[in-house]
Amino acid sequence: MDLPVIEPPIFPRWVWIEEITYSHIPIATLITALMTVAPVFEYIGYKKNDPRYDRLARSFINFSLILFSPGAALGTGIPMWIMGTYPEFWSRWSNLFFWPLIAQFGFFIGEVVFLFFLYYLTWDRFQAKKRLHIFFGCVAAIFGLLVQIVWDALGSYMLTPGAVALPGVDEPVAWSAQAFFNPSFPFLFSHRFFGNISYVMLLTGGVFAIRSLWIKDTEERGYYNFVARLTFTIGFFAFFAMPFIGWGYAGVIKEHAPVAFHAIMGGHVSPNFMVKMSFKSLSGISLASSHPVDSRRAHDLAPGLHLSAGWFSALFVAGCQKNIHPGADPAMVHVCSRHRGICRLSDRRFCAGAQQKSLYRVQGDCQTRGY
Amino acid sequence: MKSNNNPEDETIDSTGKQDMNASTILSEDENNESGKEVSQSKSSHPWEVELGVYPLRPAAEDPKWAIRLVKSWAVIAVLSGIFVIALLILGFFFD
Amino acid sequence: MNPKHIEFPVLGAKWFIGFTALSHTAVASLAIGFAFIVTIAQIIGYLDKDRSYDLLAKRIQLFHVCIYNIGTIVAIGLVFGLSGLYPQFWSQLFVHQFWTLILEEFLFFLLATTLTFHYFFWDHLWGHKKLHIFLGALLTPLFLLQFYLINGIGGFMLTPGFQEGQASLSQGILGWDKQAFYNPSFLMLTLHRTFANISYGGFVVAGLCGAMLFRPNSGAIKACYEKGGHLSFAVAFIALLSLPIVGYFYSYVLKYEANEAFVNLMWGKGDVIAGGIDWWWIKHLCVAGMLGMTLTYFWHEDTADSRFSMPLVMIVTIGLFYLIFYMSMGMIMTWKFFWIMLAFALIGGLLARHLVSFHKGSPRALYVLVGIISFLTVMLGGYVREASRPRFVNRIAHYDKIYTPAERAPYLMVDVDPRTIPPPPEAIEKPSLAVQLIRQKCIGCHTLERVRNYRLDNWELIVDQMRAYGLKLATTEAEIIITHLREKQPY
Repeated sequence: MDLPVIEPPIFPRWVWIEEITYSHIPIATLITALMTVAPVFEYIGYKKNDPRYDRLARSFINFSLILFSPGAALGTGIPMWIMGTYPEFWSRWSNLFFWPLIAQFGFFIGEVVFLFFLYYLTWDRFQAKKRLHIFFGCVAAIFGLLVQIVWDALGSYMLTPGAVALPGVDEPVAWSAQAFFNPSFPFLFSHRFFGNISYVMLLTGGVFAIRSLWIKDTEERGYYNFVARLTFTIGFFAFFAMPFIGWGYAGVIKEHAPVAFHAIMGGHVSPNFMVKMSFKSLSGISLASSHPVDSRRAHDLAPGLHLSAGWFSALFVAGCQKNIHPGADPAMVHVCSRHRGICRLSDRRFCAGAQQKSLYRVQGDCQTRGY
Repeated sequence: MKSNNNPEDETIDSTGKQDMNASTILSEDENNESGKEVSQSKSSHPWEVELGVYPLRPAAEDPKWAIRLVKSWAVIAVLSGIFVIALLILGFFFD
Repeated sequence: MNPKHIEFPVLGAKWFIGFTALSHTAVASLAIGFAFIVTIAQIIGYLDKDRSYDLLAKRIQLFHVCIYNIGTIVAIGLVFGLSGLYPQFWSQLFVHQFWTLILEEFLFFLLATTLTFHYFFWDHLWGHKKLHIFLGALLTPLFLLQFYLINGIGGFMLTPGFQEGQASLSQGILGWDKQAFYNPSFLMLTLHRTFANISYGGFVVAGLCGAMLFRPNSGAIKACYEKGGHLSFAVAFIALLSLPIVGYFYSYVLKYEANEAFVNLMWGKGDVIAGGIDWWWIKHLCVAGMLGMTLTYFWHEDTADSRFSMPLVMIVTIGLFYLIFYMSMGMIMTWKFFWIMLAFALIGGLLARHLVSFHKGSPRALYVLVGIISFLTVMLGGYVREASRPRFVNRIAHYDKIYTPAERAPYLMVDVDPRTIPPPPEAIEKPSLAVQLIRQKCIGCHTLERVRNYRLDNWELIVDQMRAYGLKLATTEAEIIITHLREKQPY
């Protein structure tokens, strides 16, 4: 397929794709985590007969609904931008993953039906059928996670394609289990799963802790402090799962995507990684210090520390995402843009593994340009 | 569409609050305050009590953060709409 | 190029796309109608200080918020389906109208956020009700703008404008093509859809109100739904009246700009006939039935002295006007068409009269019935429009391979005469084995820049180190590389 690409103004194509993607990810991660946690809280509240959990679960779902439409609208922008700016890549990539994309479409529909119609709208009506209501919440969360699984599989394939080459546009492929369950997929998914929970819970803890400072009503203040402590604790434990998963993730990247590994550890995106690790250390210190203080001294200092933990964790996620999707070598972007192929330096291994032809075309161009 | 205590009415209880911010939405308890159990009568339609009054109130009673947010967004939306229309008009003359 | 499609099981590629597109239309069109009705209801509620309209508007908006995401997701399913099942066509179309689609996506985000704010801030802004109504009112123009953008592309697929469209395509215009966007049927499609969506949304809201009237509620609640039904039915009816007129001129455009589609529609050919049924006829039967029902309803409303009624003389005039309209349609199509439409309008009228009197003056059953028929009409209209047109790639020969390859890349997005484009560069000579090996092996872990920047000459040691790090390299290959690097040859 000989298709030219759209060259957007102001920034190169990859910057546009990156920024459009980043506009969606913080919202999507927030919704996924809130949806995952809400039915669990509702169940705990039901078992302990503690209405605070129910209230919290409900406010999580309420907030998810506020974010859902703008988040989904931003999400639709990602494939649209890729289709225009990397048409050949999109055609081949979506050819390899046609059925997962169609399945994702079904999961998304399932998520909306269960989240909006069967979970949110029925909250009061199903007070007498709490177990059924919690079940609907769980199904909504599972659909949400299934959507995440599909995108993590497709995303991780770009980093560690294994031995699966991108098919041609005109090849009726549609599905490859080997590509879907590629080496880094389980690590990316579990890292993101815990990352989502950690980021969202710490952020919630920070927001509630700060809010509690302004509340005069003692009962309300108690509720806010309860939420702050609860979400902070969950975020704390989820946070400390991440370095262990990250270690395994790095090992897989080292083995299956050495170029990317090199780029992160000492190459052109290593400064990003260093910044990310610094944030991680700071948030780790902040978390570790604030938690015992919180336990010992009630909540005198807790709000500020919670806030700082929330702030650092938000930055941590930003740094993390930047790191998972490192920026491109401008020279290579320039060269590759003429070939509508896969353009990031860190993906060169991907080019080599997936489509030798693309690599040769790039090399041919490199030669003409005196590289 | 009919329900008792339908979530549609979730913000009704909070309308009287003056001190609100983004965390209020995050923490908003729909019909309940402080996590109390829902206790509305199941027999009557939730609109019954609301139909009688059109609850306009002094502008100062609206939460300021909400007004600021909505006004800002309305400005953004109007300007964006004008921008799109301008592009469509320009696009009529230029490729 | 003749791409093989991924065949979709059971439905097949064509029907999967058709089904997904119609599912999206069902929701998206409803959203536009809902936004309009919500604003009208809010304004009337504010002017009358009548809470029933406001409560009804809020309930519709809640329903809107819930279904909006289904529309979004089905749209994305459609995009995935098209890019997987028709990769060549879709990529071409996407690149051709990229900025149109991106603007549409931008409006999508604006709408999603505006809709969310409008619903979730409903009770925060009772002190700023006008601001809140204004925020909701923004939804309608934004929705209309959004679907005008899609109409540009949809209209182009039906009426690419022959020479003009082909001329712009052959120049390989990217991202925005004014001739393709402002194609001959754009205006009529846009007008038809605008009124159709308002009509559809209004009738569905009236249908929902009618359904609620069947439930055991108090008199006050029933009165509330009655008010909502009257209002939305009246709005929908006014919009409906314009549709046959606009549709008439729309078909006039098709006659000259997409004659095959016109013939298929008017005389039942091609995919318009599916399963032995002429779906264009079925759609018209629905419209005629709706006209009969709605006119009878307003006749009844006039005698009932309802707020949203119209004088009898106006109803009769409208009836006569549409009689003449169907006569002219009979001249174009067949007289059989005219008589059957007349029969259905009369049956619709009698049915409406019966339903209203059966429910002791309450139009609830009529609301539900017309709501369902309006849904069917929208679905059938969408189907026959797409089914009537010839296959796009067959019609626009250029579209199968209009773009020249890489040599055009530097000129993309620039208004340039194709004749001034220099010929493509000559084929690059195949590099030597050593160069190939260096390029292939070294960049597995690092850039070639790094090799070039290395200043010492101990290449044997370096290559051995690389092999120790895991580089798979035969000894003979290593020797070739070392020799080439030592000689400082380019690579």
